[in-house]
Amino acid sequence: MATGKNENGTGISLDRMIQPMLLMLILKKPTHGYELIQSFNAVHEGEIAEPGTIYRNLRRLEREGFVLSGWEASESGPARRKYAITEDGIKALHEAVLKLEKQKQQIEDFLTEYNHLPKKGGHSIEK
Amino acid sequence: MKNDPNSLKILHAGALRKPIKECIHILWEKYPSLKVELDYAGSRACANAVAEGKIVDVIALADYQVFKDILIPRFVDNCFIFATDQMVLAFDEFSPDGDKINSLNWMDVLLSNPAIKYALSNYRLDPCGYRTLMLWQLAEQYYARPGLYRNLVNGANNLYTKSLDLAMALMEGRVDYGFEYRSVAKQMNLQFINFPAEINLSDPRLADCYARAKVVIEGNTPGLKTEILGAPIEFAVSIPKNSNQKKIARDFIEILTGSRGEGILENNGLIPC
Repeated sequence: MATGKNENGTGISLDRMIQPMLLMLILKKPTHGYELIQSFNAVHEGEIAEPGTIYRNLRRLEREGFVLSGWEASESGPARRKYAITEDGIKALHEAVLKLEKQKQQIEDFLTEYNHLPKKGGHSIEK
Repeated sequence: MKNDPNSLKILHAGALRKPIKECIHILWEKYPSLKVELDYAGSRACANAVAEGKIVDVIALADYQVFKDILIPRFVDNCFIFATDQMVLAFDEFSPDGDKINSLNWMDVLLSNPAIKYALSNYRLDPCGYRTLMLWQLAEQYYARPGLYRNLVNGANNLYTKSLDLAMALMEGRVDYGFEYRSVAKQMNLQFINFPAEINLSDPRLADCYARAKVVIEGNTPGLKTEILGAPIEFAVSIPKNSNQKKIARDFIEILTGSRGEGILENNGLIPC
């Protein structure tokens, strides 16, 4: 179930980097939400995404066909929903990376131009 | 619970009352004439009933650890984690000082006014009760308030058999504040304050921090104690080995954990996972 593009030009939302981060973590290792939340914190220091937000994004990604889930029983613990990335998910992640690289270049260009402004110069409107 | 061998018997934590009922309505689309017998209690009380011979087809509890402590492997092979939640402090528009309580001063509001009645559910029978004690222990450390746990224990007004009973007591004005699951507070249209993640038992990233809290209760063997460590809240469901309706029970669990069940859980304030 592939979907169309978002307003940002990719199939997934780039808002707060939650969906690309989840897809990347699942691409590295299919796993369940509990572990994804723990890994999310380690990879994305400084960003506090609540567990509910992460679980909701996982379900959204599954509805959009970017991940698939199934119950995985473990010998020592309970069965949990385990997520794996789909072909559409890999494609959407790749598109997101291209978009982010473009955004990164735009930000770098902006910062370069800003940093080259004269220290006390420029034209301002006096009140 | 009656004893009709053809009915589907579901035993569940009180906090799951509303979502379980809504999922049964979906099950009836496939089995319109199916009789369903619903029973609920605190999760440890539910598990003890099954361990003592009660026959049910589905058991849904508020804590995976209860399955592990009492039911696995003798009565249940394994269970499925299907939802999470967090602890909150619930109250209503008639609760004294409800207009000034917040996540920083809640303990001062509860402890400084002897007229205020606050309560928890029974920690021996209900995970919401022992999770409240854990929250108080974690709060003592988090807010750096030595003696807070003991003061809150000493000041508590009552123990209710399950979290739903506590919510009812709040609605009827028998208590002013109750330590509840956020889902129950939402289902009952109660006001609530959120606690910081460090003490509300919601976040797997803080599992090690939560595990510093510990509650000791009577075990299932007389004279033996069971130690329960703090952990992120997780609701779990299973089909007991002695179920007479395994096929329909599986259908029910597929609904609960499927997309329609997820919508129901979300609407009832739980987080499907």
